Amino acid sequence: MDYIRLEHITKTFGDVVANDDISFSIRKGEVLAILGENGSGKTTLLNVLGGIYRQDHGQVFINGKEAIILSPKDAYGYGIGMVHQHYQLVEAFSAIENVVLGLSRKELLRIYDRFEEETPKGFRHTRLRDSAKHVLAMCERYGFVFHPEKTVSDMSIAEKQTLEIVKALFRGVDTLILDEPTAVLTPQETQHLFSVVENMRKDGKTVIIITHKLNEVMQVSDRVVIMRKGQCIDTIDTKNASESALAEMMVGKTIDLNIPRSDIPTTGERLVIDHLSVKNREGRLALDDVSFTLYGSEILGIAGVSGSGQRELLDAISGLAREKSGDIIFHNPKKNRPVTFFHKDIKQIRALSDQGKFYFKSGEPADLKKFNNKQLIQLVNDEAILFYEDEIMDLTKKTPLEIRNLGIKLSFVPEDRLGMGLVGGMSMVDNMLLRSYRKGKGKILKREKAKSVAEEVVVELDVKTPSIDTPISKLSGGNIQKILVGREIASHPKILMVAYPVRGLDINSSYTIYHLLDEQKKTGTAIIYVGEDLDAMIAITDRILVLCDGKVTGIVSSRHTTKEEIGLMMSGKEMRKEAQA
Amino acid sequence: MSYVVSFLSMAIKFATVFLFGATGEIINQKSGHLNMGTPGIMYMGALGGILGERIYLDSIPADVALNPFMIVFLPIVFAVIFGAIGGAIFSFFTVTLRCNQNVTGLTLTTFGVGLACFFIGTMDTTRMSEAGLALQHAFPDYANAGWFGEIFLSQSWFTYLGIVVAIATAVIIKFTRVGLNLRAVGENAFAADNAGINVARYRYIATIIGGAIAGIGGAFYELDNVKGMFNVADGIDAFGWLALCIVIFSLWRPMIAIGASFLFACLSIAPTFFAPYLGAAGYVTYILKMVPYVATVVVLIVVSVLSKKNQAPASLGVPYFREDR
Repeated sequence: MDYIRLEHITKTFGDVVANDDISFSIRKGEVLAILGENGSGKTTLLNVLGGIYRQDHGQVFINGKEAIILSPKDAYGYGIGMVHQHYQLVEAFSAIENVVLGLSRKELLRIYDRFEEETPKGFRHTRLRDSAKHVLAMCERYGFVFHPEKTVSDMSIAEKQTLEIVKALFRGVDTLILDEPTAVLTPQETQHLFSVVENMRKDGKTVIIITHKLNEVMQVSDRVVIMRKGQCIDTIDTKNASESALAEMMVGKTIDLNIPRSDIPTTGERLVIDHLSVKNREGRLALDDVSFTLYGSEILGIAGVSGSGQRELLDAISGLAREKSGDIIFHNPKKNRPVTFFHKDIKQIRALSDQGKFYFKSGEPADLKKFNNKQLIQLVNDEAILFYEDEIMDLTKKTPLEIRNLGIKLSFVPEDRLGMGLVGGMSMVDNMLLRSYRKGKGKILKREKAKSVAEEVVVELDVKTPSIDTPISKLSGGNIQKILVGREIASHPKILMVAYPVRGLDINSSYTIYHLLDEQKKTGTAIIYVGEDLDAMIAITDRILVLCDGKVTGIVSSRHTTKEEIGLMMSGKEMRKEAQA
Repeated sequence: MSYVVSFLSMAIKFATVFLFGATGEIINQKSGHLNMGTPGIMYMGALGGILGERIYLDSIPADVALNPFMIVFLPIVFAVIFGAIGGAIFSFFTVTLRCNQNVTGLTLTTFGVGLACFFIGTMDTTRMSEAGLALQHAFPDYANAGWFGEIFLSQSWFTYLGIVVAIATAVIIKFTRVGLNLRAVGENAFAADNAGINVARYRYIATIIGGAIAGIGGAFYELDNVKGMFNVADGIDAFGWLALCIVIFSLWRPMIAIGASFLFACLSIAPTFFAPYLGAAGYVTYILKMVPYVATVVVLIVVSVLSKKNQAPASLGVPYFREDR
């Protein structure tokens, strides 16, 4: 018999239909996976069960009776607990305070009664330390490590997740909902979590896992519910499913799950990072003595548990981080090249010519004083003079603007797209202008060039937008990401840094981005790729640098490594360094 | 000597007003409500206090002596009711209607000041100053205990009540289950809701209780210090703003607020107290008046630089709606 049954659940937010007439059932003691892409309505649906949202239509039946779940407390009453993707813990409190939070004395005593057969009798007090004894006894049974007095803000991500699960189990839930539980865990921590899930199943608990990772569905679940665009597509037994079949149901069409990686030789050193240490905004050492070399025509992956210093590394290279020591050296691929758009400012050209930076094509040093402004512009437009750039440039103490003025094409696709990368309220054209408004003469903005770039990006990357003048915040996450990546690539960068480029994107958009990155690699660009999905990272990158607590724990070739090895290095356990590409 | 004694005695009296305001505001802020309506709520409490006194005075014949219990009890009851109404208004706007807390608070202050001034100005003042003098001392024989009695035993029942309320608040917040839940609501309302705590109820009740306590402070100022001479009633809102400063200064701890209130009281009465002795250097009083505010800013900076633990509740000023996540 069905244990929990959802019937015709519909939930809308304004005009957006998040869940459209969804019905399926959950059996007692099973591990059920809810599979779907980002934005397919998985979390919304389970939030209805967890008491966060109230459905507009439809009913929930538990053991055949209709259940009215109006709050998380009601859900606990029905034995349903939920571990949200963003943990719901009070950072300033200790572990045990978080566990007993909101429980009255009466409720605590009822919980004690349940444990009475396992723990020594007599603990009838409800002070924190008395509750802690019961919690510890329970943790021992499930194999959790639990420190009652530890403050949440001092905990690692995995510890916080354990605490959330302990919190739910202590309240005696029969059904535990885990929302994207593995998103922030290392592979080892993920395996540990799955063994915990297995223990819970043996204990007779029902576990619902919300995920978009196919391999996890295959590994851990008994049955799988596939969702797409707010609708429930199908419910099947996992043993009858294959990854490709699931992917097809999830996306709605056949897709190629192969991530491209061109095997081409690298084109020389591009960026040399030497003993780089960076302090973050709180003054803590976020990067500790990091050294590596980035080559042209390669993609270097940066792996690590979130918050291991990835953000600070990219900030340091792009010139955003101030408190840093060590060296960041840029190796210019071209010594001589025609004067670029950047240097079409007459004043700037005059200043540079005083330092003897210009040459005729014949190789003779050019004395530009001989020419008047008009002649000079003619020369520049004819590309008759060459600009000599320094071969090696020290970027350590430079701001982003200074780096750009040096003519170094450094592009950064930050993880916070609408916070750091683009302005949500502005149109595509204006967002393109953000990157280039300093170019050109006069105080009035020239929009033609930006407009053509925007049109190009729309066509080439298949951006779905009503027009290039629509505010980009109205577009979906995938399209916004395409605009950002497209803009950065349009400037033909020498170094491209991307942070979590496929986060929140559907599978199709993700693969578009992967292909774009590979195309860029082929043109000689050096790419730094920060990501969280290790499978994808191993597939697309050439080398992977692993960070743990701001230290480099290894640099390995992606072709000769495994997820497990990287996982070990992510937790700081192993050191292996391969210097060469 | 007598000079110092009377200064300290006076400071404790003023500190009482601060302490009620600060304790009330601490309870508010622990629930995540940055209630800038406290100055207005204190004014409303003052109105309630006078109304209570008036009702008592009207109920007895003109030649009967005042009952020392009733002249304290009835004003407190009415101040609590009026302050609670202020807190309820704030909660209704911020919790039920989800208005911006800052705007609601500032509006409430404007409203409270106007309301109280309007009605206080029209109040009958018969025997009011007599009642004010009568409630000034809890222990009429305080003078027998020398300087100690002059300073510590000469105070009104309001003062002792204020200290008891502050200590009780500290104990409840720190050691009880209710206190833990209240702190959770102020720190992370989403987590609190998930743990089964009724966030709206906690915020309503905390704000109403906090308003009631702040209201007593306003009533005390009006009855004791002003003694029914209502034309000089204005100025309670200044106490309210300083009470907000004290909350930050005392790092959201009622026990520290007791000392901080005393310190702020010393600083705010010093200009008036010393003015006659300063002569030509009277302008110094203006500098002295600035000191409490400057001290608050300094404490705020020092705390935020040095300590991660003694910060404001993490959700302070953040509205909570379950489906907004």
